[in-house]
Amino acid sequence: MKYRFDGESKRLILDQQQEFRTDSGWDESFQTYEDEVLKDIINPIENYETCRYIHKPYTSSSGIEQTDIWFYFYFVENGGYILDYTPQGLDQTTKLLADVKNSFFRLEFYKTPNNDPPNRSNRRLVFAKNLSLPVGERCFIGGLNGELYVPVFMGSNYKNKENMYLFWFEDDSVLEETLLTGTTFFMTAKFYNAVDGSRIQFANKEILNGADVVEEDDLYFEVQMDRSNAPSYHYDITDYNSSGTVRGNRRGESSDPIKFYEIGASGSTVIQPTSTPTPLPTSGPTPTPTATSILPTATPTSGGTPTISWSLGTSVTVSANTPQTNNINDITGSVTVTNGSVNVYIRSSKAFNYVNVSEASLSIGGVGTLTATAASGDTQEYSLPSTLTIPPGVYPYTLSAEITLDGGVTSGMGQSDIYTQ
Amino acid sequence: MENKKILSPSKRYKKAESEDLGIRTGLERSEKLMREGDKTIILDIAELYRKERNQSTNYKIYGKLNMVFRNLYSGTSLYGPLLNNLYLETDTYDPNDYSGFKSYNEFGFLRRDYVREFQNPTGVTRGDFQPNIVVTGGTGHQTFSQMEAPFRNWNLYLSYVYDKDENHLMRYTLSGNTVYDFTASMGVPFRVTDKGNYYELTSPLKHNMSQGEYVILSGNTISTGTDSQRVFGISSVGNEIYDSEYYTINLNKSEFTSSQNISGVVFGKKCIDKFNISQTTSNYYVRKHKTITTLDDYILDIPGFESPIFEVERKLQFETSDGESDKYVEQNRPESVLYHFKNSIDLSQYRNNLGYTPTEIFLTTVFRNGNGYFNYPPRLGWRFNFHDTWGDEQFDTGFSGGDTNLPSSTFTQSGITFTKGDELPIDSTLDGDFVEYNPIDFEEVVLSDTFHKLNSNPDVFDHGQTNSTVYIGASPTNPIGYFYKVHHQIKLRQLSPYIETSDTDDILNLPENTVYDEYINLWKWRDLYDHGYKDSDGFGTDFPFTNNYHYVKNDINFYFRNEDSFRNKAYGIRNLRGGSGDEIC
Repeated sequence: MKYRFDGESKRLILDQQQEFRTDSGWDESFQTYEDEVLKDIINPIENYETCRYIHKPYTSSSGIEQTDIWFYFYFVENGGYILDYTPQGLDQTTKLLADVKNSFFRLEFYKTPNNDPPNRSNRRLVFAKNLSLPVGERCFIGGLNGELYVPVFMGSNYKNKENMYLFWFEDDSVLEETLLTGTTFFMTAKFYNAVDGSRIQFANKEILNGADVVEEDDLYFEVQMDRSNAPSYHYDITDYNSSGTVRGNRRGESSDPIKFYEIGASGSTVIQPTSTPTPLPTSGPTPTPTATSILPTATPTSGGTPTISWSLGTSVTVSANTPQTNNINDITGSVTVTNGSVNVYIRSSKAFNYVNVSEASLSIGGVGTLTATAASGDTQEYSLPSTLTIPPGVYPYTLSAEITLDGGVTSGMGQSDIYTQ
Repeated sequence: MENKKILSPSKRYKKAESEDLGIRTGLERSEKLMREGDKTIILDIAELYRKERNQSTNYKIYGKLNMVFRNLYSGTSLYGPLLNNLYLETDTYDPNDYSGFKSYNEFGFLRRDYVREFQNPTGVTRGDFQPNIVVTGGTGHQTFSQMEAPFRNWNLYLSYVYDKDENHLMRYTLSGNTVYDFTASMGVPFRVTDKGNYYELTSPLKHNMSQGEYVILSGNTISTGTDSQRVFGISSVGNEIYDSEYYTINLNKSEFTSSQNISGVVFGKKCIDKFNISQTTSNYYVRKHKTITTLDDYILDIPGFESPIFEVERKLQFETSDGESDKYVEQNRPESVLYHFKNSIDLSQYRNNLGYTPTEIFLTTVFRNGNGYFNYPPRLGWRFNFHDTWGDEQFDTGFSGGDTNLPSSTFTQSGITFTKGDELPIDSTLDGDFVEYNPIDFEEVVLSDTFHKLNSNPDVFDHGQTNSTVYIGASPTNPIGYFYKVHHQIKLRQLSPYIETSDTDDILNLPENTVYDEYINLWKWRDLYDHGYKDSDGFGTDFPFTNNYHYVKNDINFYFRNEDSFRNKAYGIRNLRGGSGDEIC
């Protein structure tokens, strides 16, 4: 109620029935307040929906845009690393044995407050993904004339494979009052062995000869999820260490897989963090504690293992789009051998097994030449039993690939590869 | 005395469920009087859920698309990569006598012929692992990867109706290539039959008119005079044919003046009251859609546990034109795919062509033609433009009313220029259904759905699509092809089938779809049903609601039709010509 002063009357006349309504407007405000309180205390709206994140597309070395993701898990054998399950006591036959079926790798994804370097005091397990052995790759072993499961996994959204989707919140609204917001995760891996119930921790690099393991530097890859950039809801995986010196190199592509290495080739130990752990402000599920790995000591190897390195790699491809001969592609570089002689052989392979012929040739200066020809009807051919023995030293080498299209076919591709025996 | 709050018995809207007004007092209850200043709030989780559910305007759209299609055009090709991948009608290729079908990959939602890496791991000894990755796949035409495969043929968008076009040019063609051009505002096309005492007017679409109403005619044979001189009472609807009441109206000749003789095709607009034509006559127009999503906003997936019941028509081609033996080819692959829009849409930010928050959105499907094997862009038409045995001139490239104006780009390969579609940016506009809106009924009625028509580029694949001796009405500028419905409706809210009226002055509290009807001098509106409520006739919406989203599942049978074999009028008008043997409609 308002009184307007007219400049003449000097008196206010108050009626007994006059109501000043000093609470005017309170009802509406109180109703708003009431609604807000109710929303907060009864079934508050929070977005718990998780959505699917795909591996970020990349252009492979073949020039193909794809999302395939590759993992290699190396086990220790005789002081070195090997892509095979035998060191874990897993036997394989033509049948799928229970031990193989029931063993699995476990990729664990952690978050830390403010994305601090993860250790067992500050990390929190947010989700995990199991990779069953039969989902992994099968490799034809020529010496055994059979196929073996190997600790190599390829995930693809589009093939009948483990798809390697990750699921996480589509926004951070449910984590707003914690320190676990953000899209940075730390991934490590373990192997659960059904033969003896043991569990093996993997590192992100080779750790041999009793080296100490610094958890913040040696156990994790960094996983970054992206909600906005196209394709929206994707992730990528990069190297990680706490100092940042090797961060940022993307891993997981077909030509650059994520490589996990078993810890403890020669008595390595996991070093516990010395810094004061950061307390987590919120309660929540406690991750299963992981025992400190004092792993069995392997017998140290004496002397060095023969090594070989090729300056321009061990593979070359050639393609053709019209019938033609003498279509050759080659690479010429240097090969370095140390700590003893190394035997090598080559293979020629091609995409189609009809009509066209592919040929591989390796020439090492002062050592010799190898050839392998995949004729019509063959998908691949090795030079075996012919090999070359390269003594320690540095030599020039040329690896060539040739594809011949006889007619009819309008496309084809050949590939030459060098293998170490 | 207990202090109880008694809810008002008035319903929130006419057909809303009644609230429980009873107060049950138990003999064992022990309750206190409230002290002055206290406030009681009834914590009712069901009520709170209902309130939040109806306040939320966020919707997540997902569902399944079933491709209903048979690949039936068999032809020849001079373009090597397509020729090499034809599903030949014979086992071997004879350059002088062959015919084949395009691979289904040219039509499918998810192409399978993308270029990809393939690994064949080998090793010599245990522990030796060589992935042996090689490149495989492809057709020799254009290289694309698995990332592009779901978007190369078809693109999905969400759209809403934001406007209307009353002046959209339309065309209707009778057999014998008799063409009638008109604008949408002229109304429904009718073919006139003189029945002696009355005219029988037959439309190729449901006219939505009833006995006792009026029709305002226009056209070449009745073009003079005002609307009031061309309004005629509908004496009856239908004739002796089943369902004909939806397509046929009858007008007594006694209502026509001696100078009014109609014939051929006329156009009619529905009128409720001949004495108040301006306020009771229907408006006819083409709806205009605007897209609200991009290609990155949705994903297309293969269902985990479902495949259509129809058989995959496939074979190992004994020998292809390039000499490849035992090549796997598919003529048809019945497809079910899942679509899922990743982000929610907030409906409150949009207004439809009638000025209020849309109650429906549309899944808009556009053929992308990534390989360029079809003429592009597709042509625009409506359901009534498809006939049993001839092609409609609506789709002629020389007729601007058939332009879809979809963006495109070209590329050249082996001397042939291919045209493919480009992605539609947000807020792209597309033409929609042909609808009627009557101010009295206060509701849009879809008279004819929008279709896009495709046809093969004859330089690439020739099945006689431009030959009028093979397909009646076909020509180089109007080839026979395929067609599909562009916009599939997804209902998000339900307006009541009844109309509420009021003469209140409290207009601020009226629903947003309220209009003032000067004919009856009342405000009128349709109630917006609550989510979770369905009336006795089944009208209503009931979507799962959580995370502040309504999860709207919408399965769609996507009919991709061959124009040559499709019979438009199988359930209605086709039979209407049976009696007279007249094939003109």
